[in-house]
Amino acid sequence: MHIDPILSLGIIFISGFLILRFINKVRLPAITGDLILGIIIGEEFLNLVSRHLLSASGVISNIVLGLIAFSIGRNFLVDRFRKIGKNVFLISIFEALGTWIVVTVAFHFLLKQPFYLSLIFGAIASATAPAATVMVIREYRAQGLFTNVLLGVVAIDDAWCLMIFSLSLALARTLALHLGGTLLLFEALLKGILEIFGAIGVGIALGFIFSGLSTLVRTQAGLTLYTLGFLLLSIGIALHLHLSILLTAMVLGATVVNLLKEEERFFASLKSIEYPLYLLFFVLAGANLELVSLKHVGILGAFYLVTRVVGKIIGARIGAIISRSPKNIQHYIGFGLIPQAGVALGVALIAKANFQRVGGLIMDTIIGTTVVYELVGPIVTKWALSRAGDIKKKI
Amino acid sequence: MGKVKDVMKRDVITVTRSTNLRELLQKFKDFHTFPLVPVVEEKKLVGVVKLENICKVFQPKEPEILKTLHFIDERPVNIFEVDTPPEMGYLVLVEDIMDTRFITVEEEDNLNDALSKMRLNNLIQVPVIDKNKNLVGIIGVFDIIKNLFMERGII
Amino acid sequence: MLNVILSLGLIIIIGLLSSRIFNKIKLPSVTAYIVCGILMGPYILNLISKNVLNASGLVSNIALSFIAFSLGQNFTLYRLRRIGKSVFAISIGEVLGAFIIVTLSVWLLLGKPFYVAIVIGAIAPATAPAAVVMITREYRAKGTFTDTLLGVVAIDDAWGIILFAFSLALAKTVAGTHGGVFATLFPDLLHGFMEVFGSLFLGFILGGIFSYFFRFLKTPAHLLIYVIGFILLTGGLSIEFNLSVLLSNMMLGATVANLSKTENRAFEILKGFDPPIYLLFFVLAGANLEIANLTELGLTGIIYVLTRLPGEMLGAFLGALVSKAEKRIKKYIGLGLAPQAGVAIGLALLAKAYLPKDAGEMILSTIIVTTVIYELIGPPLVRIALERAGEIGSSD
Repeated sequence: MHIDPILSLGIIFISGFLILRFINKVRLPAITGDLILGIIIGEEFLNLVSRHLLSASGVISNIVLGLIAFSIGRNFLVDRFRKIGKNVFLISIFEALGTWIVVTVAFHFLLKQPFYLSLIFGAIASATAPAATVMVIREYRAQGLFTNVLLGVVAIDDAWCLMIFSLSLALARTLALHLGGTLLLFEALLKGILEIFGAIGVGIALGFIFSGLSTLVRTQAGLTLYTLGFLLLSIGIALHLHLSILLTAMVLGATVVNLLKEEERFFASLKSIEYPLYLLFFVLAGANLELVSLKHVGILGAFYLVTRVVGKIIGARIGAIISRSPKNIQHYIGFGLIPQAGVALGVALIAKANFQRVGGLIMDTIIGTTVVYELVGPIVTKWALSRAGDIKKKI
Repeated sequence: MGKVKDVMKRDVITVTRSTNLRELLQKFKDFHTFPLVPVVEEKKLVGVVKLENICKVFQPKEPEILKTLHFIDERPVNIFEVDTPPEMGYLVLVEDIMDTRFITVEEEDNLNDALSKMRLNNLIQVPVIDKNKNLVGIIGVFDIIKNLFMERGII
Repeated sequence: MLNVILSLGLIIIIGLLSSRIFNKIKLPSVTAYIVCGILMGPYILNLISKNVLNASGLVSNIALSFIAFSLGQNFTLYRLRRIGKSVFAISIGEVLGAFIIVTLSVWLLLGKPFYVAIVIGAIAPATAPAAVVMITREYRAKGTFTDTLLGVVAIDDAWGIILFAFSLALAKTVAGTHGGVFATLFPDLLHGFMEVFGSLFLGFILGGIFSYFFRFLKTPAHLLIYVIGFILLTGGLSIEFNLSVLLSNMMLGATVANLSKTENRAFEILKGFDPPIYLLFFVLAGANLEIANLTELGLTGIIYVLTRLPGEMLGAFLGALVSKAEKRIKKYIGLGLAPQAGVAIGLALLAKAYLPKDAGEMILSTIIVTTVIYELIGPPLVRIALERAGEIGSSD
């Protein structure tokens, strides 16, 4: 059925509005509602999403990811960061590494999978999707040390995952395809570092330009355009240079907030356009979920699900203990890191491109597990925030 | 949950249609901010004057219809350069600058609905009317919040 | 080739920068965006990704939907009364004048098919309010002439859109038939009329639903999504049912405005959201300009340029006469209506989407070129009009 894209958008927004308005009656986060809406109107059921929209999903998701990262970056005021920097740093390193190790080891020794395949799954497992976590925090107006640390961890862990993935990929290729050797590994490490520093560099450079020219903006409309424009530029450049969108946008946000005294008017101007974009993002994410792939989850998938969660919780906990974080962080921070989504898929795609034989297997498994994580993740995050005490109960 | 009439301020400074600019400004000469000023005609609420209405005297009139075309540039006005002769104080009447279409709440409305209405319309205070459209008071977001704090024993 | 997002980012930043520059030399932002589009487009710098260019029609549709919706709010008794008799009469006169003269010239003088002629004719009355506003502000024009001029230039876009909707509806039908115009004139007219009526009906129904459920809104976020949703729904359903996107959205706006007891925030909240859409719209309008065709303006273009302004002036004069306007208004108001810009291009883009390939492309190229011409000669003419009417204030 060929539906016009504008009609599709209209349907998405109106039904999205209904969800937004009435979702609190079901005690689920709004984004879960949007995801389910997306699934329902997607190709597998009502098929109300225009082809054009579906093919634009990638663009929209990159833009929204950048938006979210940008707003996370806003939290990184240098003095505030001094307080939680150590915790964030340690927790994120440990949970990323921890997950990687746990999943790799479990796959290899318990499931008897070839080492290189286990490595890949381990690397994919370390990725965390920030979008869901951030949206849940906003919706429930979670506030507190736990929330700040969680945001920090979720943001920074992308950097670690980049490195981990780069390394794992290189290692796997060495082992499986007998290509190169230590040189390749070194190259991979270098590439990972370059990506990270490249992203940081672009973010800082754009941040300086943004701040420098900021006095040119005099009108309300101008504010929105200026901020949006720079954001899109940062995402676009990151894409062009194959850098991490998340990091670039986040560093842009962090640079701006630290350089500009009047930063609020810029960040606030995005408020007038962000809700429709977020709505679109999550609904399309749902529409792109292939529920059928749930059947491919199988043993591999189930194992992946379980071991990843274990890795996250244990790794994060160790990091929290070492950095002497408060008890509530120690106990619950791992749960906040459960959501996994597009990031995993992107990474899995790269893996697939590199390994013809097992590529398909990896993709199918990851697609299936992503479905589970996307649906369950937000709910678990909300639970964690609640238990940690950062969501105040309604009186 | 209380009603608007329990929390609103009944003692309101009002003006009439024919109040001129000079009298209007005199009433608020010692105020630090310009509140919402209801315009009444024999107890009935017929208009409101807000800060933005007063600022309008600095801008030469452009047809309202232009505001519906959003892609036209916003008008930058340097109020210090605008020519404002003293006669303006007598010639400009409330009638010329007031809003004739405005948001209100009724005294019997409950506070939650009133607050929602204010939030939705980006207002911090609204006039309160009774069933016959007579002005009975004025209520602001702060009044509602204060009331909440009082009920919870915080003040 | 630049990726989509980078393209978009560049469009916005460069657009913003140029609008600041243009504002300094007293030209409106809209013009800046169009010029940006020309420069960044495929014929010069080629900075716009192909995917973005291909979305021009879509962006056009959406932007025009928003414009039509916002214009719709003027159709309440309260506002119509404040518009004034002479503005009414002059705007209607001007629109009809341009329409009739251009259509007849293109059809009879040039021998182009009837349906092409009425579409071009319907685009002719579109005036660029932005340019006129800029001039009046720059020269600090004040007085009844200025007020009338501004009123006319704003409302005539509404009439123009209505006229365009009807013409396009008719043209869509006629284009499909063969044989002489008059053979199928009556059923075609009926068909066109039904499309118009259908659009109004759709807008009305959706407007009613909008107003009825409005009470459920609690936050500005709700409101924004709700409004955008309805506009897109209206537009989308119009497309599905082969109705006029513009008319139905205008009717949606009018219905909502009439059914709400107070100034509806629905219209205002769009102001925060639409700047990026309009910027993209005008930039893409410029990007679609085929520089190559600029040199071969063609007979159609020439006739259009020569007949549009006289048509407008004549119609405006008659309107002023009928409403007993002042002498100087009668004499010069038509001249003040010269500028034409983005909206005309948007309409031409719509025409291209709905008419047979050749016709649509010809209309688009013609309109784009003539728009540039009128954007250049328009502003000086407006200034002359203001001067002759004696309302140029003390300019420095």
